[in-house]
Amino acid sequence: MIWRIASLVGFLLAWQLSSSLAGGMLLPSPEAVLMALLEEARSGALALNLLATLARVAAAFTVAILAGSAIGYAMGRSATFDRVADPWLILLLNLPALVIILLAYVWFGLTEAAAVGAVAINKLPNTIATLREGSRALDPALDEMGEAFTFDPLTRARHIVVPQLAPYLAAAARTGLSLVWKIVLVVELIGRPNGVGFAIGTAFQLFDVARILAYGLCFVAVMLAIETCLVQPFERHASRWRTRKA
Amino acid sequence: MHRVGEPGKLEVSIRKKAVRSAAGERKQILADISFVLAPGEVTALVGPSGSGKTTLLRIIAGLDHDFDGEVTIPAQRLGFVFQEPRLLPWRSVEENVRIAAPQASALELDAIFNALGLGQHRQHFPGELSLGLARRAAVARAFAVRPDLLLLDEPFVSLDETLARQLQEELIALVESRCVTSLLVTHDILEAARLVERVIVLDGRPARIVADFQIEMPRARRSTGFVSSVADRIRATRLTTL
Repeated sequence: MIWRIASLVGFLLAWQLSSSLAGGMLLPSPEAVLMALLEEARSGALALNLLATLARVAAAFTVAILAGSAIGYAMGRSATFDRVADPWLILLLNLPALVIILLAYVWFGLTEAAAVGAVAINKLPNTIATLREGSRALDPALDEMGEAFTFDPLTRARHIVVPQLAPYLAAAARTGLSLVWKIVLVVELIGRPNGVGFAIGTAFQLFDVARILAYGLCFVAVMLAIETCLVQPFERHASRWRTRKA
Repeated sequence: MHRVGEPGKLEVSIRKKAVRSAAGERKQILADISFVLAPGEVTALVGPSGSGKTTLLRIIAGLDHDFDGEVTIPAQRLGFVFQEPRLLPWRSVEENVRIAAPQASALELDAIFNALGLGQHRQHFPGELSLGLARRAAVARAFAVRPDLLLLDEPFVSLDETLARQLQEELIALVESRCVTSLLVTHDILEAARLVERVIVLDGRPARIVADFQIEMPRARRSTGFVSSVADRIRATRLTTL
């Protein structure tokens, strides 16, 4: 803990120092960024933009994880489906995020659904690839046990499959969250009238570096909170059965 | 074909079972295996390692459908004790049993856990158990489903002598108290001679039934001398075919 705090203090000092070297215009001091943040909070713009972005992150993330897990599981379980779907997956994995976003806006208009859908499609292949690996690693001995004891499909899913996939789900969630929020900002920058990406875009046009940093750091803080309050407890709960080494 | 028949009775009639090896060759491993187990009968399936005992058990359990012949198993409920315990590592011992046997009452579970000396370990995860305890938990799970047919695949292998004996006693006590048709796969001839009412010996490649006989003497009255004479008889049947 002490090292973490020391490291954080060091970061702030380095920032302050660089700011005084580079000048407040290019790199505002921590204090100036804090003032910009308070200003945005007072006007209500911060809450509005944060909420709009968080809602998009949540929607795109949910769609991508649910659809990606289902497809990844199917590909991991069925060699035929894997062979059929694999070229699509490779295509999707390598398609630039920007192309997907622009095409979504061109084809479906500057709508919320196009924005969220474009983000979800960007995250989808990564989830599929992770969950496919997880499903390939499922233990056939436990499958047989479930079959011998005639477990129903729900029991199998809940007690045999999901616990084995938990580390892969956590990995997909963690990489997914950081990927999704970054792409949501791009989507907002290009075609949404609110959200953190939109606010940063406006600030960029006004060359308001303090506001760009304020929004950026604020959003990092929110994502860190989600990671510590949601993702990590889930992982701890899912791995409580692993015996700790003395 | 695999189907469900009258309660307690197991009918096996396998003409042929072949497997494809990793190298792609087809190898026949079972030939003309047929026998009928009467309700409540406790039978051992004996044979050297690699003689297809586990394969036969998997066919009977309905885990392997790729064979030529018929298997009729008694009613629906099957208790299977695998060679390795196959517990869900992320669920406690008690949850493992409850998941397999949701209909079992608390009283029933208490009785089974106590009979197997698992009372202290119900809340432990399988990773925290010794192999002997994990084996017991697997036996508890198989009994908790109130099986019509109990299949045991070398449940005592790699346990030390005392522990294996103890678990055998507990298992046989449970089998007798419930009168469940049981098939015990083992390569330990003494174990078979001590525990069961009937011995089926598999041998050869592909494996066939080379002997099938009853042991009339009640289990409790079998002396060490009697057990070793039966063991000699089992060994003799195998030697004649080699």
